[in-house]
Amino acid sequence: MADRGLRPKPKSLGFMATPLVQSLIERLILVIFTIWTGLTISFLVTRLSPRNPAEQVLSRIQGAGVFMRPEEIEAMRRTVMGLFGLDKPLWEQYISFLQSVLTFKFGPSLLNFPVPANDIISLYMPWTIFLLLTATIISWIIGVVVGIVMGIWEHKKAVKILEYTFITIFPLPYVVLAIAFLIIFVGILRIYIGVTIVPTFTLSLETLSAMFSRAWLPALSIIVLSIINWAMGSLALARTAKREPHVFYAMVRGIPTNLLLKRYIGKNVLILQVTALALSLGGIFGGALATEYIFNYPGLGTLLYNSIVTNDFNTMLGIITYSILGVTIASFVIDMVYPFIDPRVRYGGGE
Amino acid sequence: MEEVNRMARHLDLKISLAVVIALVMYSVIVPQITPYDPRLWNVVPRDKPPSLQYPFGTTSMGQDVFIVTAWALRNSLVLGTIAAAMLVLIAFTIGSIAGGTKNSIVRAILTYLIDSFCVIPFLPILILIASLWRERLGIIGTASIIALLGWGGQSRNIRSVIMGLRERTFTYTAIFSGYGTLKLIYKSYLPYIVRWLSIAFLFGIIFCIGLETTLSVFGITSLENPTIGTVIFWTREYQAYLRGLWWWYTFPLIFFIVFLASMYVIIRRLVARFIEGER
Repeated sequence: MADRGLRPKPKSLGFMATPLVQSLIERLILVIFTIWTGLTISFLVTRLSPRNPAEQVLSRIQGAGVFMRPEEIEAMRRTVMGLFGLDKPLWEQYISFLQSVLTFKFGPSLLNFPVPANDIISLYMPWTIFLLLTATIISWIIGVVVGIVMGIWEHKKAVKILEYTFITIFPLPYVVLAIAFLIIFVGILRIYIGVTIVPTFTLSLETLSAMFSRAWLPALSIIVLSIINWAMGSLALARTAKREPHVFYAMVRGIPTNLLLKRYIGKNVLILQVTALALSLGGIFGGALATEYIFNYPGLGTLLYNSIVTNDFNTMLGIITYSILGVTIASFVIDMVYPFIDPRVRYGGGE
Repeated sequence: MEEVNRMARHLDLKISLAVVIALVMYSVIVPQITPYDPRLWNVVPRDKPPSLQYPFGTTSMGQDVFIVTAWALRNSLVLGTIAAAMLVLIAFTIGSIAGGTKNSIVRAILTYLIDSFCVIPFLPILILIASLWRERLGIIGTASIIALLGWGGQSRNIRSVIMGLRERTFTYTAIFSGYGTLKLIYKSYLPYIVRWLSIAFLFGIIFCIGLETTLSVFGITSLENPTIGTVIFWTREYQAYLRGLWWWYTFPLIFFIVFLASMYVIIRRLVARFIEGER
């Protein structure tokens, strides 16, 4: 660790770029490539599907009892195929998909034909953000504090018991926990958890309270599991911090626990957990598929699930695009801000 | 007193090992000694609470919970193990090349491939693929898809482990004392990496079992062959929570939770012993 500062600086790109600008440009290029690859993989997977969304629109129109002559059906098929861009060869579809990502116009939704997919997404987006933002922030604050406190008094009996409780729940897949919540709250306690409300978002008290009445149980299930996640992470970090010589020296010297908590261990843990928080905040734009599906919450996750099972590829790719953008941009921002938080890290340092 | 102390040392590890072995034996032996195929429906009376004849009760589909749980646990275990093995193999191949190569172009390409697989929203794509080919995906198919899509995170870890090894002092010592690259890898790195990989493999089992359970709860794996996830799916489908059929979900869930927790305790002990160097 100590010799890291002594290593020769990596050779710069030749011209007069400062390390900041240079690493900014390098990272930005990498981010764009990463986003592109993620989008391409997602696009290819949707086109692998043998099902044709245009046929489904047609059969729905015909199912409504509209009588059409065969040539009319043929003309209609061509129009609908054209609307979804499915009549073109694959590479043209791919290019128009990339264009749609740049302009955020993903074409008509199949599930709610002919409303544009983007309108539907923006309708559900506030619900997901409300649920996940509150759940993530609350669980982060509680979890990190609990983890640090556990790390400091790690030999107390109560802490040991708490840790083993956490160990039991931690490896569980989220769905199992969510179903346990449903069993407890709905099956045993018979608590009313609200019905699906058509999500039209206006910034009013009414909407917010409607959101809250739907969101509290799913949020609670996320919070419980995430608190354990954050606490276990912070506990491990606190233990590592305790083993560092300067912290150990401070403990031997007998500094007040308060100071140990704040300056010696708290700081070390917080540095890493702040970045982890930023990463998980970047992850909320994809919606919480499992949560929203199990609790039937009207958000992006439910929309995504419905669009997957009905082959609504435009909506699906739209949500996936937001999700990829959220994650990559968050990690890019962290990389750029990190040297300000942690002076041990430099731009362009290491490999 | 010393005897007691030695017995109490790593008590959680010993208990967990015993639990895991017991559960594996239960899941292997019980399906072997049943007179009928555990996948069949309507072989016993429906909705019977636990009794002497059916120690864990029966389901609404006419299955003995005791046997279904064993079979489901077995399937989940097999799937998790296969998926984890493939996942660790892919992750190790790509991660070790990305971390170890001297060719900067190869390194850049692989690193960015790893990054891309870390950002694709994993669950939606998995659900799409599983829902498209559900009929044809058996246990091995589901396992390979999980492995093919999920290797990103592990690969990133392995890459940084290898990069860390290259920077360690003992590497330089070995090189200066005349070790060749191959000898360096076999003598110095392999013991370390093998420990690391076996821990990654055990973690992978937990991860893959969890994913399969998630997929099954969505109802998009083949539902006739029970895994723990499909058991949960059917209890939801038959409204077992509202109808008070507590034995149907309680026993499989308890076994599942106990198994995962024990696995996790073992992993934590292994990490503490081999990675962090605790005595």
